[in-house]
Amino acid sequence: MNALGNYSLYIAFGLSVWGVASAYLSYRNRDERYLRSALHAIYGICGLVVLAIILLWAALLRNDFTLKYVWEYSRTTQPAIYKITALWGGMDGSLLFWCGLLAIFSALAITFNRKNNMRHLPFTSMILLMTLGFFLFLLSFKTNPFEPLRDSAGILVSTYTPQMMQGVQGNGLNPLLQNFYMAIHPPMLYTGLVGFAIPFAFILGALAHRERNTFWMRSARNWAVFAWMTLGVGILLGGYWAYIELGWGGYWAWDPVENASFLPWVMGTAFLHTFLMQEKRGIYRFWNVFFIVMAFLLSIYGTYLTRSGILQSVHAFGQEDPSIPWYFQLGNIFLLFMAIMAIVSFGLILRRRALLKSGQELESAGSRESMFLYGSLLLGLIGFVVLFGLSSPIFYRMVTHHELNRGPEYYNPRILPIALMVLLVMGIASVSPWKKGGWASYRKQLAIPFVAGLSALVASIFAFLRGGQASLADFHSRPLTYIYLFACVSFSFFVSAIILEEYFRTARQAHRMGRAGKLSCLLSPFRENPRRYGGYVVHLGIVCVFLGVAFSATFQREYQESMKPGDAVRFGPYVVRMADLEHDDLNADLQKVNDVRIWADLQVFRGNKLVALLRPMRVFYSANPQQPTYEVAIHSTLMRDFYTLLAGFDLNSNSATIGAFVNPMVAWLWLGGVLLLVGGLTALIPMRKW
Amino acid sequence: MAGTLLSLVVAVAAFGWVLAPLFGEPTEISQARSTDQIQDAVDRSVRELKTDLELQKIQASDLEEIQNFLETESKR
Repeated sequence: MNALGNYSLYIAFGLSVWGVASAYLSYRNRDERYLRSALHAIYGICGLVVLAIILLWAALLRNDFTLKYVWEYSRTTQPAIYKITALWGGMDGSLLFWCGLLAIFSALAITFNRKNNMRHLPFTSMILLMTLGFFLFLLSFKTNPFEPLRDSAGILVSTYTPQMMQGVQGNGLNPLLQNFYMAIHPPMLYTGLVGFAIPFAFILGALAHRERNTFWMRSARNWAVFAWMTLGVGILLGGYWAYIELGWGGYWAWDPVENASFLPWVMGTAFLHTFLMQEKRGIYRFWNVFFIVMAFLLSIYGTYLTRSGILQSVHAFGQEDPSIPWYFQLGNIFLLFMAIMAIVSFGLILRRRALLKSGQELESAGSRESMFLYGSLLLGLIGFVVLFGLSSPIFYRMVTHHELNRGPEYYNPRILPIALMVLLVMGIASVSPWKKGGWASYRKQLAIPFVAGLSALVASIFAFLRGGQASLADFHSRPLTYIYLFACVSFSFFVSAIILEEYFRTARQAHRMGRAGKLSCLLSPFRENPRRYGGYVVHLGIVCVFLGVAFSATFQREYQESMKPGDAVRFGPYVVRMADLEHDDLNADLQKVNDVRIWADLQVFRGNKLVALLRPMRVFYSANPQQPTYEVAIHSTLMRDFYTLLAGFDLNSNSATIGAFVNPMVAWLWLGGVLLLVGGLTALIPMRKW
Repeated sequence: MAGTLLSLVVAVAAFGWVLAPLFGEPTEISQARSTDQIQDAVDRSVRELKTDLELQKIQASDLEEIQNFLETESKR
């Protein structure tokens, strides 16, 4: 069956080549026969790539080590769940998964738009088929997951007898990836990255077909919301994985690959806001096209960075063999595709520039329309700061052959002030009046939120001063950090008050107008206007993320102590007693078990009260026993996380080094992620008639 | 061998299905728009703006202007 998997990729590539030609002919000749043929190609590719994925999964599950990919990323002792997730654990499989998602989304998108947007489909399907064709080219000729395994003598393992195959274990999935959150983080992330291809193709399609009317954009908008939401949740899940798996007490390090996934998200956020203005006022047409083109190109750029080996990151997929000719190196093939898509996109923008002119002028710098533009431009600015930080080390290395590291010291001072401005604009834009605006309207709507923001500022300064000399000394050592923190607290209360005030006003209005009862009016904003109030739930989620980041980054405390069973040690506000240090059978045959664990049983007290029993551990995976992973144990509350890890151990002396972090308000980040998901799903609900 | 033969069958079936529409009569791609969908989008935008009118975030005259714009736009 592996041959079928292998050939299905070649057949799908052939279909994509024909599909692009057929879609182009339908665009030139307006002949529906060619369009139907191109659409059939998309459906055919979808079926073939899904078939290839199923066959690769089957090979992984039955330990078919005649395939190189299965040998590299699976192992006989690996639990079934990690044999399934091995699909996206390596480069070839992850590209197949990427391509599979794109094929499914493309097939769904053309099915839902075949009736209403038929006239745009020739160019739209051509863009989708070009993207599919690119990934299928890589899968067929460059990163084929069905490549047969050869031994060191070059003999195909598939020619081995069953006796020769006995004892073959497989290399196994990277131990860091054998984590539940790695089962859901990559699919969410890929769904988001791939999802931007659909609104990108639809918007370019409409532009190519000279569409002035903007109402068709609703379907593109729904795909953009879906992609944006899943990418956002995927990024946060990645942060959670890093938090619990890497044992460093943090969740975000401005790692290049983290940044690469953040870039399309930030451009997608800008698009979703300028889109609202185009829909109602016909303005920001250029910005809409620009932001969605950037979101798509940057999602490809992120895929290129992770897979070309150009970046060194915990998430990257490894280096390219330098003996391969330059024109066939993966990174250069990616660059060529990005260049083609950029030329097509920006060439089209240039050719259709007359269509992208706004029909209307902005009437006031304080209007809702202006506020949305300020917010989107600030988001775009964040995107470009991150893009520069991400790309400049690559160019620097090319020119000077020296390394340039861009870490928090580059990003934080540049991003934080802009991000705080975005937070502020996010609040003000919610109450800003349409068209001519008028400051009188602001005065009325911002009075309560202003008092809330000011009170929060005063309260946080008082709370800070209660810390006495120690707080002041800390302030003098890092004044900007505290200024950002106070601003963040104040702006967060300001924004939250705006959202809650508007929500209750809308609910009260629905009750007053007789559209809802006394209690049911609390749901009416979501029923009558799910898009806006879903958006506000997302905004509350963003506020939670801001607060979580601000407090955990400012007040994180780290501790480390050597302990023996029976010892009790103070870690900040907690007292930890080690009850025991235990382990699995260390003489177990790693050929027969997936992992061996060593753990400490900890009792955590606050005052005299036992608040948690924690079991941090180290796990030695048979796939790579030299690199034991951390399995941290966390006592999590809304106010703080008490994060413990088994930093070291000496079984001869029965002692362990326990590392601990007290991380304030980290749970708010994950709460923000939940609100982002809930708000995003709410915004996708169709509007109910009054 | 069985896999290769099966792949050949799949290839013939896939290309046959993809090329089949070319043997039909030439027809022009429909340029029609879904008037229901457009009207629905106009209604949705207007309703959101009416909520803003209730919340005093837009003046009645401005709402009327935007509504007229949306109606004109929907006929383009």
